[in-house]
Amino acid sequence: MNKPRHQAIVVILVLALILAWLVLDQRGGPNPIRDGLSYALAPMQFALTRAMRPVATVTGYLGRLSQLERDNATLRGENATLRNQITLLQEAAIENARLREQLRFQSSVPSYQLLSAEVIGRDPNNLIEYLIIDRGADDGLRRGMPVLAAEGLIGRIGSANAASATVMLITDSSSSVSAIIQRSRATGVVQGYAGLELRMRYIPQGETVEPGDVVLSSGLGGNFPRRLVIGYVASVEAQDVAMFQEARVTPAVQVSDLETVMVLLNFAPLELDAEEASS
Amino acid sequence: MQATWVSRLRIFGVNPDLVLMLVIGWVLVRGLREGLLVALVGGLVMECLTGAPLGATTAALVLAAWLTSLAEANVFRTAWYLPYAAIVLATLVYYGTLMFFLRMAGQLLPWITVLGRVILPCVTINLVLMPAIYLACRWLHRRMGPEPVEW
Repeated sequence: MNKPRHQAIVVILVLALILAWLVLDQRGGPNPIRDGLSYALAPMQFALTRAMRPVATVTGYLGRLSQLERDNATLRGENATLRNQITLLQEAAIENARLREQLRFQSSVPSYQLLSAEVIGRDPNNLIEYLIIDRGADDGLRRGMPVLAAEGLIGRIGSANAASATVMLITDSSSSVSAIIQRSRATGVVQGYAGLELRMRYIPQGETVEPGDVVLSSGLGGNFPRRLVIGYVASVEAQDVAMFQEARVTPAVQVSDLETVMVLLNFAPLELDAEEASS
Repeated sequence: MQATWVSRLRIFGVNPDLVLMLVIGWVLVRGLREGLLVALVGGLVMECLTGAPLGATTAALVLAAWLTSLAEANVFRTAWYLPYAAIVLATLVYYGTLMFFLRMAGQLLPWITVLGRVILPCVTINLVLMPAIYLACRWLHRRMGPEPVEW
Protein backbone atom coordinates (compact mmCIF):
# COMPACT_ATOMS: atom_id res chain seq x y z
CA MET A 1 0.00 0.00 0.00
CA ASN A 2 1.40 3.42 -0.93
CA LYS A 3 1.51 6.30 1.51
CA PRO A 4 -1.33 8.62 0.16
CA ARG A 5 -3.77 5.74 0.10
CA HIS A 6 -2.84 4.80 3.60
CA GLN A 7 -3.48 8.38 4.76
CA ALA A 8 -6.86 8.48 3.03
CA ILE A 9 -7.94 5.31 4.85
CA VAL A 10 -6.91 6.85 8.17
CA VAL A 11 -8.85 10.07 7.38
CA ILE A 12 -11.93 8.09 6.36
CA LEU A 13 -11.71 5.98 9.52
CA VAL A 14 -11.39 9.09 11.70
CA LEU A 15 -14.32 10.76 9.91
CA ALA A 16 -16.38 7.58 10.29
CA LEU A 17 -15.49 7.45 13.94
CA ILE A 18 -16.54 11.09 14.44
CA LEU A 19 -19.76 10.48 12.50
CA ALA A 20 -20.55 7.44 14.61
CA TRP A 21 -19.78 9.48 17.77
CA LEU A 22 -22.16 12.24 16.64
CA VAL A 23 -24.89 9.75 15.81
CA LEU A 24 -24.51 7.93 19.10
CA ASP A 25 -24.52 11.30 20.95
CA GLN A 26 -27.71 12.34 19.10
CA ARG A 27 -29.43 9.14 20.16
CA GLY A 28 -28.85 10.07 23.77
CA GLY A 29 -27.89 6.57 24.89
CA PRO A 30 -24.55 5.23 26.06
CA ASN A 31 -21.62 6.15 23.83
CA PRO A 32 -19.12 3.28 23.66
CA ILE A 33 -16.65 5.36 21.64
CA ARG A 34 -16.56 8.17 24.21
CA ASP A 35 -16.41 5.67 27.04
CA GLY A 36 -13.62 3.73 25.41
CA LEU A 37 -11.61 6.88 24.74
CA SER A 38 -12.14 8.16 28.25
CA TYR A 39 -11.10 4.82 29.65
CA ALA A 40 -7.93 4.86 27.57
CA LEU A 41 -7.09 8.52 28.27
CA ALA A 42 -7.85 8.67 31.99
CA PRO A 43 -4.49 7.23 33.22
CA MET A 44 -2.60 9.51 30.88
CA GLN A 45 -4.61 12.51 32.04
CA PHE A 46 -3.95 11.60 35.64
CA ALA A 47 -0.21 11.19 35.06
CA LEU A 48 0.02 14.40 33.08
CA THR A 49 -1.92 16.36 35.66
CA ARG A 50 0.35 15.10 38.45
CA ALA A 51 3.43 15.88 36.40
CA MET A 52 2.26 19.36 35.47
CA ARG A 53 1.07 20.39 38.93
CA PRO A 54 4.48 21.67 40.20
CA VAL A 55 5.07 23.47 36.95
CA ALA A 56 1.65 25.08 37.19
CA THR A 57 2.36 26.04 40.78
CA VAL A 58 5.70 27.63 39.88
CA THR A 59 4.26 29.50 36.92
CA GLY A 60 1.39 30.60 39.17
CA TYR A 61 3.84 31.87 41.75
CA LEU A 62 5.89 33.66 39.15
CA GLY A 63 2.76 35.29 37.79
CA ARG A 64 1.72 36.42 41.26
CA LEU A 65 5.18 37.30 42.58
CA SER A 66 4.70 41.03 42.80
CA GLN A 67 1.26 40.53 44.36
CA LEU A 68 2.79 38.11 46.87
CA GLU A 69 5.47 40.62 47.78
CA ARG A 70 2.82 43.27 48.39
CA ASP A 71 0.75 40.81 50.44
CA ASN A 72 3.83 39.80 52.40
CA ALA A 73 4.66 43.39 53.26
CA THR A 74 1.05 44.07 54.27
CA LEU A 75 0.88 40.92 56.41
CA ARG A 76 4.19 41.71 58.09
CA GLY A 77 2.87 45.15 58.96
CA GLU A 78 -0.38 43.66 60.27
CA ASN A 79 1.58 41.06 62.24
CA ALA A 80 3.69 43.75 63.90
CA THR A 81 0.57 45.78 64.72
CA LEU A 82 -1.20 42.75 66.16
CA ARG A 83 1.83 41.74 68.22
CA ASN A 84 1.98 45.27 69.57
CA GLN A 85 -1.73 45.17 70.37
CA ILE A 86 -1.34 41.81 72.14
CA THR A 87 1.48 43.24 74.26
CA LEU A 88 -0.61 46.30 75.08
CA LEU A 89 -3.60 44.12 75.96
CA GLN A 90 -1.46 41.90 78.18
CA GLU A 91 -0.11 45.00 79.92
CA ALA A 92 -3.66 46.33 80.28
CA ALA A 93 -4.76 43.02 81.79
CA ILE A 94 -1.93 43.13 84.33
CA GLU A 95 -2.70 46.75 85.16
CA ASN A 96 -6.39 45.89 85.37
CA ALA A 97 -5.68 43.13 87.88
CA ARG A 98 -3.54 45.50 89.94
CA LEU A 99 -6.19 48.22 89.90
CA ARG A 100 -8.91 45.71 90.82
CA GLU A 101 -6.80 44.67 93.79
CA GLN A 102 -6.38 48.31 94.79
CA LEU A 103 -10.10 48.91 94.30
CA ARG A 104 -10.93 45.94 96.50
CA PHE A 105 -8.61 47.34 99.15
CA GLN A 106 -10.15 50.81 98.75
CA SER A 107 -13.68 49.41 99.16
CA SER A 108 -12.60 47.55 102.31
CA VAL A 109 -11.49 50.84 103.87
CA PRO A 110 -13.88 53.45 102.43
CA SER A 111 -12.68 56.14 104.82
CA TYR A 112 -9.24 56.16 103.14
CA GLN A 113 -8.70 58.66 100.37
CA LEU A 114 -6.10 56.88 98.26
CA LEU A 115 -4.09 58.13 95.30
CA SER A 116 -2.53 55.58 92.98
CA ALA A 117 1.07 56.20 91.85
CA GLU A 118 3.52 54.42 89.57
CA VAL A 119 6.97 53.43 90.80
CA ILE A 120 9.43 55.14 88.43
CA GLY A 121 12.71 54.42 90.17
CA ARG A 122 14.55 53.14 93.19
CA ASP A 123 17.26 54.62 95.32
CA PRO A 124 20.61 54.32 93.53
CA ASN A 125 22.34 53.54 96.85
CA ASN A 126 22.32 49.98 98.11
CA LEU A 127 22.25 51.14 101.74
CA ILE A 128 19.10 53.23 101.35
CA GLU A 129 15.61 51.83 100.76
CA TYR A 130 13.63 54.47 98.92
CA LEU A 131 11.28 54.38 95.94
CA ILE A 132 10.61 57.21 93.51
CA ILE A 133 6.97 57.62 92.42
CA ASP A 134 5.36 59.67 89.67
CA ARG A 135 3.13 61.80 91.94
CA GLY A 136 4.26 64.85 93.83
CA ALA A 137 3.22 67.97 95.70
CA ASP A 138 1.06 69.03 92.74
CA ASP A 139 -1.09 65.94 93.41
CA GLY A 140 -1.46 66.78 97.09
CA LEU A 141 1.40 64.66 98.45
CA ARG A 142 3.12 65.81 101.63
CA ARG A 143 6.06 64.45 103.58
CA GLY A 144 5.08 61.73 105.99
CA MET A 145 1.94 60.51 104.23
CA PRO A 146 1.62 56.71 104.51
CA VAL A 147 2.18 54.67 101.35
CA LEU A 148 0.38 51.35 100.97
CA ALA A 149 -0.12 48.40 98.67
CA ALA A 150 -3.11 46.09 98.72
CA GLU A 151 -1.13 43.66 100.92
CA GLY A 152 -0.16 46.23 103.53
CA LEU A 153 2.09 49.10 104.55
CA ILE A 154 5.08 50.01 102.37
CA GLY A 155 6.44 53.19 103.92
CA ARG A 156 5.84 56.90 103.91
CA ILE A 157 6.60 59.89 101.72
CA GLY A 158 10.18 61.01 102.38
CA SER A 159 10.11 64.15 100.25
CA ALA A 160 7.73 65.54 97.65
CA ASN A 161 8.80 67.54 94.61
CA ALA A 162 6.26 69.10 92.26
CA ALA A 163 5.80 66.06 90.01
CA SER A 164 7.50 63.21 91.88
CA ALA A 165 8.16 62.03 95.40
CA THR A 166 10.43 59.65 97.29
CA VAL A 167 8.98 56.94 99.49
CA MET A 168 10.98 55.83 102.52
CA LEU A 169 10.30 52.10 102.81
CA ILE A 170 9.68 50.48 106.18
CA THR A 171 12.76 48.34 105.52
CA ASP A 172 15.02 51.42 105.50
CA SER A 173 17.23 51.56 108.57
CA SER A 174 15.89 55.01 109.51
CA SER A 175 12.27 53.83 109.49
CA SER A 176 10.34 52.92 112.62
CA VAL A 177 6.64 52.11 112.99
CA SER A 178 4.70 51.57 116.20
CA ALA A 179 3.29 48.07 115.94
CA ILE A 180 1.09 45.55 117.63
CA ILE A 181 0.87 41.76 117.37
CA GLN A 182 -2.69 41.01 116.25
CA ARG A 183 -3.16 37.82 118.27
CA SER A 184 -1.58 38.71 121.62
CA ARG A 185 -1.91 42.56 121.41
CA ALA A 186 1.77 42.84 122.38
CA THR A 187 3.19 46.19 121.35
CA GLY A 188 6.58 47.14 120.00
CA VAL A 189 8.37 49.14 117.31
CA VAL A 190 9.09 47.74 113.85
CA GLN A 191 12.38 49.04 112.49
CA GLY A 192 14.16 48.50 109.21
CA TYR A 193 17.29 46.42 109.48
CA ALA A 194 19.87 47.73 107.01
CA GLY A 195 17.30 47.58 104.24
CA LEU A 196 17.33 43.81 104.44
CA GLU A 197 14.46 42.89 106.74
CA LEU A 198 12.30 44.14 109.60
CA ARG A 199 12.86 43.78 113.32
CA MET A 200 10.15 44.31 115.92
CA ARG A 201 11.85 45.62 119.03
CA TYR A 202 10.77 46.59 122.55
CA ILE A 203 8.24 43.76 122.93
CA PRO A 204 7.76 43.39 126.70
CA GLN A 205 9.03 40.18 128.28
CA GLY A 206 6.13 37.87 129.16
CA GLU A 207 4.13 38.69 126.04
CA THR A 208 3.60 35.70 123.76
CA VAL A 209 4.83 36.16 120.23
CA GLU A 210 4.96 33.25 117.81
CA PRO A 211 6.14 32.74 114.25
CA GLY A 212 3.30 33.47 111.81
CA ASP A 213 1.70 36.15 114.00
CA VAL A 214 0.37 39.12 112.05
CA VAL A 215 2.05 42.45 112.84
CA LEU A 216 -0.14 45.55 112.45
CA SER A 217 0.52 49.25 112.84
CA SER A 218 -0.70 50.36 116.26
CA GLY A 219 -1.25 54.02 115.48
CA LEU A 220 0.72 55.06 118.58
CA GLY A 221 2.65 58.25 117.98
CA GLY A 222 0.24 59.31 115.27
CA ASN A 223 2.59 58.78 112.34
CA PHE A 224 0.66 55.91 110.76
CA PRO A 225 -3.00 54.91 110.87
CA ARG A 226 -3.99 51.89 112.93
CA ARG A 227 -4.46 48.34 111.68
CA LEU A 228 -2.30 48.40 108.57
CA VAL A 229 -0.60 45.07 107.94
CA ILE A 230 3.17 45.40 108.29
CA GLY A 231 4.19 41.77 108.04
CA TYR A 232 4.38 38.41 109.73
CA VAL A 233 6.62 37.23 112.56
CA ALA A 234 9.36 34.96 111.19
CA SER A 235 11.20 34.19 114.43
CA VAL A 236 11.45 35.44 118.00
CA GLU A 237 14.62 36.16 119.94
CA ALA A 238 13.94 36.23 123.67
CA GLN A 239 16.65 36.22 126.35
CA ASP A 240 15.97 35.92 130.05
CA VAL A 241 18.44 38.68 130.86
CA ALA A 242 17.11 41.15 128.29
CA MET A 243 14.42 43.69 129.10
CA PHE A 244 12.57 43.16 125.85
CA GLN A 245 11.96 40.49 123.26
CA GLU A 246 12.81 41.00 119.62
CA ALA A 247 11.16 39.44 116.56
CA ARG A 248 12.24 39.14 112.96
CA VAL A 249 9.36 40.20 110.74
CA THR A 250 8.82 39.31 107.09
CA PRO A 251 7.30 42.31 105.26
CA ALA A 252 3.78 41.77 103.92
CA VAL A 253 4.71 43.54 100.69
CA GLN A 254 7.52 42.37 98.43
CA VAL A 255 8.86 45.78 97.48
CA SER A 256 11.13 44.49 94.73
CA ASP A 257 8.09 43.54 92.61
CA LEU A 258 6.13 46.75 93.15
CA GLU A 259 4.98 48.73 90.13
CA THR A 260 2.17 50.78 91.65
CA VAL A 261 1.52 52.03 95.16
CA MET A 262 -1.24 53.97 96.93
CA VAL A 263 -0.68 57.13 98.94
CA LEU A 264 -3.08 57.77 101.81
CA LEU A 265 -4.01 61.42 101.31
CA ASN A 266 -6.38 62.03 104.22
CA PHE A 267 -3.97 61.20 106.99
CA ALA A 268 -1.78 63.89 108.51
CA PRO A 269 1.12 62.54 110.57
CA LEU A 270 1.27 64.17 114.01
CA GLU A 271 4.97 64.97 113.98
CA LEU A 272 4.56 66.87 110.72
CA ASP A 273 1.62 68.83 112.05
CA ALA A 274 3.80 69.84 114.97
CA GLU A 275 6.67 70.80 112.62
CA GLU A 276 4.34 72.88 110.47
CA ALA A 277 2.79 74.54 113.48
CA SER A 278 6.20 75.50 114.83
CA SER A 279 7.35 76.81 111.46
CA MET B 1 20.11 54.56 84.49
CA GLN B 2 21.34 53.78 88.01
CA ALA B 3 17.92 54.57 89.54
CA THR B 4 15.75 52.93 86.88
CA TRP B 5 17.34 50.25 84.72
CA VAL B 6 20.22 49.18 86.98
CA SER B 7 17.96 49.17 90.07
CA ARG B 8 15.98 46.35 88.42
CA LEU B 9 19.18 44.35 87.99
CA ARG B 10 19.39 42.82 91.46
CA ILE B 11 22.18 40.29 91.91
CA PHE B 12 22.81 38.76 95.36
CA GLY B 13 20.21 41.27 96.64
CA VAL B 14 22.17 44.36 95.56
CA ASN B 15 22.53 46.54 92.47
CA PRO B 16 25.78 47.27 90.61
CA ASP B 17 27.21 50.74 91.32
CA LEU B 18 27.28 52.03 87.75
CA VAL B 19 28.18 55.63 88.62
CA LEU B 20 31.01 54.55 90.92
CA MET B 21 32.44 52.26 88.22
CA LEU B 22 32.21 55.06 85.68
CA VAL B 23 34.02 57.48 87.98
CA ILE B 24 36.81 55.00 88.70
CA GLY B 25 37.13 54.04 85.03
CA TRP B 26 37.42 57.71 84.11
CA VAL B 27 40.03 58.39 86.79
CA LEU B 28 42.08 55.48 85.44
CA VAL B 29 42.01 56.57 81.79
CA ARG B 30 41.80 60.38 82.04
CA GLY B 31 43.32 61.24 85.39
CA LEU B 32 42.07 62.69 88.65
CA ARG B 33 40.95 66.10 87.40
CA GLU B 34 38.39 64.76 84.93
CA GLY B 35 37.52 61.89 87.27
CA LEU B 36 36.61 64.36 89.99
CA LEU B 37 34.40 66.24 87.54
CA VAL B 38 32.54 63.02 86.68
CA ALA B 39 32.25 62.24 90.42
CA LEU B 40 30.80 65.68 91.12
CA VAL B 41 28.27 65.60 88.28
CA GLY B 42 27.29 61.95 88.93
CA GLY B 43 27.06 62.61 92.65
CA LEU B 44 24.85 65.65 92.25
CA VAL B 45 22.48 63.77 89.94
CA MET B 46 22.32 60.90 92.42
CA GLU B 47 21.63 63.34 95.27
CA CYS B 48 18.34 64.20 93.56
CA LEU B 49 17.26 60.55 93.59
CA THR B 50 18.53 59.26 96.89
CA GLY B 51 17.26 59.34 100.43
CA ALA B 52 20.82 59.48 101.80
CA PRO B 53 21.87 62.61 103.72
CA LEU B 54 22.56 65.51 101.35
CA GLY B 55 26.14 65.47 100.09
CA ALA B 56 26.91 61.95 101.31
CA THR B 57 26.86 60.32 97.87
CA THR B 58 28.93 63.07 96.22
CA ALA B 59 31.45 63.03 99.07
CA ALA B 60 31.72 59.23 98.86
CA LEU B 61 32.29 59.33 95.08
CA VAL B 62 34.87 62.14 95.31
CA LEU B 63 36.76 60.40 98.11
CA ALA B 64 36.74 57.10 96.21
CA ALA B 65 38.05 58.86 93.08
CA TRP B 66 40.80 60.65 94.97
CA LEU B 67 42.01 57.57 96.83
CA THR B 68 41.97 55.57 93.61
CA SER B 69 44.19 58.16 91.93
CA LEU B 70 46.59 57.97 94.88
CA ALA B 71 46.75 54.21 94.60
CA GLU B 72 47.15 54.42 90.83
CA ALA B 73 50.19 56.68 91.24
CA ASN B 74 51.99 53.78 92.92
CA VAL B 75 51.16 51.19 90.27
CA PHE B 76 52.13 51.00 86.60
CA ARG B 77 49.21 52.16 84.49
CA THR B 78 49.59 49.17 82.25
CA ALA B 79 49.24 46.67 85.10
CA TRP B 80 46.39 44.35 84.13
CA TYR B 81 45.01 44.20 87.64
CA LEU B 82 44.75 47.98 88.05
CA PRO B 83 40.98 48.31 87.28
CA TYR B 84 40.19 45.34 89.52
CA ALA B 85 42.23 46.59 92.45
CA ALA B 86 40.88 50.10 91.96
CA ILE B 87 37.20 49.08 92.01
CA VAL B 88 37.63 46.90 95.10
CA LEU B 89 39.30 49.77 96.94
CA ALA B 90 36.80 52.33 95.63
CA THR B 91 33.75 50.25 96.58
CA LEU B 92 35.03 49.79 100.12
CA VAL B 93 35.80 53.51 100.45
CA TYR B 94 32.44 54.47 98.89
CA TYR B 95 30.34 52.37 101.26
CA GLY B 96 32.54 53.20 104.24
CA THR B 97 31.97 56.90 103.61
CA LEU B 98 28.22 56.42 103.07
CA MET B 99 27.93 54.46 106.31
CA PHE B 100 29.84 57.16 108.15
CA PHE B 101 27.40 59.82 106.90
CA LEU B 102 24.39 57.64 107.72
CA ARG B 103 25.75 57.08 111.23
CA MET B 104 26.19 60.85 111.59
CA ALA B 105 22.56 61.26 110.53
CA GLY B 106 21.51 58.97 113.36
CA GLN B 107 20.93 55.74 111.46
CA LEU B 108 22.08 52.67 113.32
CA LEU B 109 23.45 50.28 110.73
CA PRO B 110 24.64 46.85 111.83
CA TRP B 111 28.20 47.05 110.45
CA ILE B 112 28.93 43.35 110.27
CA THR B 113 25.58 42.49 108.65
CA VAL B 114 25.93 45.31 106.14
CA LEU B 115 29.47 44.25 105.31
CA GLY B 116 28.43 40.66 104.68
CA ARG B 117 25.10 41.22 102.96
CA VAL B 118 25.57 44.50 101.10
CA ILE B 119 29.19 45.62 100.74
CA LEU B 120 30.87 42.33 99.86
CA PRO B 121 28.20 41.39 97.25
CA CYS B 122 28.63 44.90 95.80
CA VAL B 123 32.42 44.45 95.64
CA THR B 124 31.92 41.15 93.81
CA ILE B 125 29.42 42.51 91.27
CA ASN B 126 31.43 45.67 90.64
CA LEU B 127 34.55 43.54 90.20
CA VAL B 128 32.80 41.41 87.57
CA LEU B 129 31.37 44.38 85.65
CA MET B 130 34.38 46.69 85.93
CA PRO B 131 36.28 45.35 82.87
CA ALA B 132 33.35 46.26 80.61
CA ILE B 133 33.07 49.77 82.08
CA TYR B 134 36.85 50.22 81.91
CA LEU B 135 36.93 49.18 78.25
CA ALA B 136 34.06 51.58 77.50
CA CYS B 137 35.98 54.39 79.23
CA ARG B 138 39.13 53.57 77.24
CA TRP B 139 37.13 53.56 73.99
CA LEU B 140 35.66 56.97 74.85
CA HIS B 141 39.11 58.21 75.83
CA ARG B 142 40.55 57.22 72.44
CA ARG B 143 37.71 59.01 70.66
CA MET B 144 38.09 62.14 72.76
CA GLY B 145 41.76 62.71 71.97
CA PRO B 146 44.89 63.12 74.07
CA GLU B 147 44.82 63.13 77.82
CA PRO B 148 45.45 66.52 79.45
CA VAL B 149 48.86 66.89 81.06
CA GLU B 150 48.67 67.12 84.85
CA TRP B 151 51.47 68.84 86.81
